[in-house]
Amino acid sequence: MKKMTINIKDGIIEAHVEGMKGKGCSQYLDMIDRLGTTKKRTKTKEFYEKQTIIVQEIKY
Amino acid sequence: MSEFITTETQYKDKKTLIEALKECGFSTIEEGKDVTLYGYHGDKRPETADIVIRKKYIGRLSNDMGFKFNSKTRCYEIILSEYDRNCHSQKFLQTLPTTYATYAVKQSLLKKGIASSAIKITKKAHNDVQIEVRI
Repeated sequence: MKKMTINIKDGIIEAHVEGMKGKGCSQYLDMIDRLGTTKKRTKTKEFYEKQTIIVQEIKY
Repeated sequence: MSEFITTETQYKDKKTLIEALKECGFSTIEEGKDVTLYGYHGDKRPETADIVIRKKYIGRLSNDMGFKFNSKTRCYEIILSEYDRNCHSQKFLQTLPTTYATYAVKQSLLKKGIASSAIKITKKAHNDVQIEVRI
């Protein structure tokens, strides 16, 4: 089971996936990647992937 | 005569943009290729767009508003008069990016095969939305 939380504020998307490492967490963040321009992406090295964040901007 | 100003955006997808515009209250939207934009007096302007909202749906003293796909940036540009940018469209300009992003994320999740019942969308405040998904 994975949990994905996406916060959208003023057109900026911040996505966060929690789940077991190697169980396809990245594919959900890749999906967000395709929506805009990724500003930042981080990934933990731990077995339990606690935090993966993407920040995108959609603004004028 | 209010001048049209073209501004880059990061709106990539036409269908998502149209749905976001509808969500923002514009139910009548024209689609086409190089559709002519008109000013406040009904005067034909040199600017053209692919998605157009006619002035009567924006405000009594407004000009048309358009979105045109830029093949270099692969994104849509917004074409909006100086008058409308300062008056009628302020709230709309602030709301559209979050509305677009929310719709785009939801559609991507559904395309990925996630059931809509597993997607919880909460509007926390104006322009502030949280989406929670159990995968």
